[in-house]
Amino acid sequence: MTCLQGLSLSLHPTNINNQLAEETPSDLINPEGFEQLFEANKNRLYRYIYASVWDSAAADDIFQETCLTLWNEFSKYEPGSDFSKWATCIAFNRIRVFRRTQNKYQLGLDDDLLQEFSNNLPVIEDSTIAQEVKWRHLDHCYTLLPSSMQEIYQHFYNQNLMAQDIADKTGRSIYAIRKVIHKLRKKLFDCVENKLAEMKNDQK
Amino acid sequence: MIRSEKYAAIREIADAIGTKTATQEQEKQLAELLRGNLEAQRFFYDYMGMHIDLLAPAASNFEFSYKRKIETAVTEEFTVRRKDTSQTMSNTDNNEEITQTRLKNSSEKKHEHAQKIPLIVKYKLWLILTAAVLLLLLLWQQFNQSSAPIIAKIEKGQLSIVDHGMINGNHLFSGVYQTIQASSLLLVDGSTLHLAAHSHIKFFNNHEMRLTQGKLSVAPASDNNNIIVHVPNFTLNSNGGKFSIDLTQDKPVIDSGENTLLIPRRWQPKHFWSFDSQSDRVIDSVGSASGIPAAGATRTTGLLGRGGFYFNNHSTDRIDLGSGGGTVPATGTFAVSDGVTIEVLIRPEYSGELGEIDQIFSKDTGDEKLRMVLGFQHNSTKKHLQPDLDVNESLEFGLYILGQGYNRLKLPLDGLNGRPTLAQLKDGNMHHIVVSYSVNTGLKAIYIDGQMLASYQYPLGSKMLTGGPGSATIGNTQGANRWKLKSFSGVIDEVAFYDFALPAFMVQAHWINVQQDKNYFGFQPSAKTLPKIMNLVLPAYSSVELDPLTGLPYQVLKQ
Repeated sequence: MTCLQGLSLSLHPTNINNQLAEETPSDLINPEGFEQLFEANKNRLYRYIYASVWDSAAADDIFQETCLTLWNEFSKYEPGSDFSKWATCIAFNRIRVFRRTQNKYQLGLDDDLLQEFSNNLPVIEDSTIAQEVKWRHLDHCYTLLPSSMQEIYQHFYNQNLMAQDIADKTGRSIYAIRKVIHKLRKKLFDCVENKLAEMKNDQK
Repeated sequence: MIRSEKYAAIREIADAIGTKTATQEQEKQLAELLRGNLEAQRFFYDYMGMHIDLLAPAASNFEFSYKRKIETAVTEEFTVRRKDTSQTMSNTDNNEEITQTRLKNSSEKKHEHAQKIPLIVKYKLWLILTAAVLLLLLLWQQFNQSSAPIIAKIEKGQLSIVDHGMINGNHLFSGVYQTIQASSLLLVDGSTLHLAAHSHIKFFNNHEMRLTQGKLSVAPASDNNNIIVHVPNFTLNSNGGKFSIDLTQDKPVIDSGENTLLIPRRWQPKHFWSFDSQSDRVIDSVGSASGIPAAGATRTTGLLGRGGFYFNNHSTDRIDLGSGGGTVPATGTFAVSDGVTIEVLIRPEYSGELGEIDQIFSKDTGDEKLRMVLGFQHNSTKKHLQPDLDVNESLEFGLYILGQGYNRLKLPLDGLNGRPTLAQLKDGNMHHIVVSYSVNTGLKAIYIDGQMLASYQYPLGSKMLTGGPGSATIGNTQGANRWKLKSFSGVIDEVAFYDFALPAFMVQAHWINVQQDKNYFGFQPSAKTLPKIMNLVLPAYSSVELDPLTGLPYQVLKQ
């Protein structure tokens, strides 16, 4: 995927009869069409942006800008083509614009690495297991965590408390809390990987 | 070696980023570890992705709203708003909420344009453009006549071209047509198509078309031929059999063949909590309103599928579902405009004593005014009742309707006129409860076990006010001071929230599915995401009326 050479968004002139012959109603441009495509892609778009800038405030700003650019440019989206790819290109450009205009956010992937990462994204995502499958495994893996870790998980992921707040609440040091968060994240990741490998073996 | 060990250095820095403690040095090191290494990038993306999804997926951080307004012109509006702000802003310069509007057929824009270009130049341009387009069209027709695919042969009748069509002799090509008189077409595969006069149809190819007006009947050439007809709110597949569609009635009518397949446009709930996952959260299998059970709500064997929740009439018994992204009234995923349906399975233990309230589902904006409530009640206060009945223990459905205010429809549990007594509902079996309101018809209804047992007719088109900042709750209500009073007693399972009114026919169909140990939609009960498309096999050789809003079956007229 190359996004730097312009977005190639315009509709190509086609033989109208052939276009009609190949076109199905689900491909036609309409607001519902945008909503459907956008809803299916918004979480992966946010993931891509966050993984590129490593900062949630910056990711939120870029995500918001990306959403509106997608909406404004939707008439240029070619029905039937890969919406994910098109949306990623727009997010890629928004990230670059953001990095250039907001001097305080110079962290995250530099321009060259961002380009490399974005080019690799289709391959990376191709092997990414459907999110609902991961969530199902995460559900189960959570139950395998020791209760002390489950408690920290609840504070950190469900109640969105910062490590310092959890430390104050539990009377433990902030370093101990951070260590538990890192450990439980690794445990969950390993557990899900394990389950996915088992699933793959079962399918063979 | 497992990936988290192999890429331990990347994981440690990613962890530090996740807890906002990464140093600039560490981030530089991470960039070097990722550069030129696809597998390392894959690991980083998966690891960070899990963290982000656990922390707050995009759907939870932002509220997205899509609106279509029809006033002086058709406008479409898309709003992205951060959930953590309580301010309402419409300034596009403000980064907290951004709204973008697209204007179609805007006379203002045309006028602006006209002012910029002198009239004579505009006239010349118009002439040149028209001539060029005509020339191109002629050339294109000349060169493409033979390559364009023929869709059908006109055997009888007459059609006119509406858009992009072509009729050469009696051959019809893809495009949009209107029948001037009743017409019969022989499709390329040998299937026949009959269209009533003044029907409006678009042919995509020789087996797929869209009917927007009139009547059509299809007779496929053989059992293997599948003719697909799209209609604005549904799609029909002939599946080798005949069928006909009549769009001239208030509600579309289908005369089905042996295997006619209906794909309705809207059938999924907006939210569906099957309780079949064993997660610490209550997973929403359709939307993003996964809930958090409070300490007293305990998992139990499901009335259907693996899991359900038991509530013990205690202040800690509830499942908080959040506001669905709502910040002000009429926003968020619990804000609905066409109607609403709440569907649940219950095994109640409600006492029915005076003053006792057991809420099954509730959503309000936090001020107890714009409420949407389903539950049991026996209270001495008989306010806000429509119809105004003097009842004791009852099942009730409260809703805020514009111009009417907040009103409750009650279904007395008195054993009269087909209604069950409370004792019959407490027979230890599961019961199917559905409440609905349709803006189009103005009908508010309560169903028990597939039967509509209470209803109230509002003026047609009466809109409702829903959504907003308050939390939706299963088994209780919002507001700590009312938790003890309104907690449910018994088991609740399979809670579905729809943004339209389920037709009575579908309520019955869902109850039949449940009795056959399937979920409402005929699938095996599970926490899996519901599919995007549902195929319904229509009863063979029947006349079926469809709900024009959803495309779901409304009633079987004759079989």
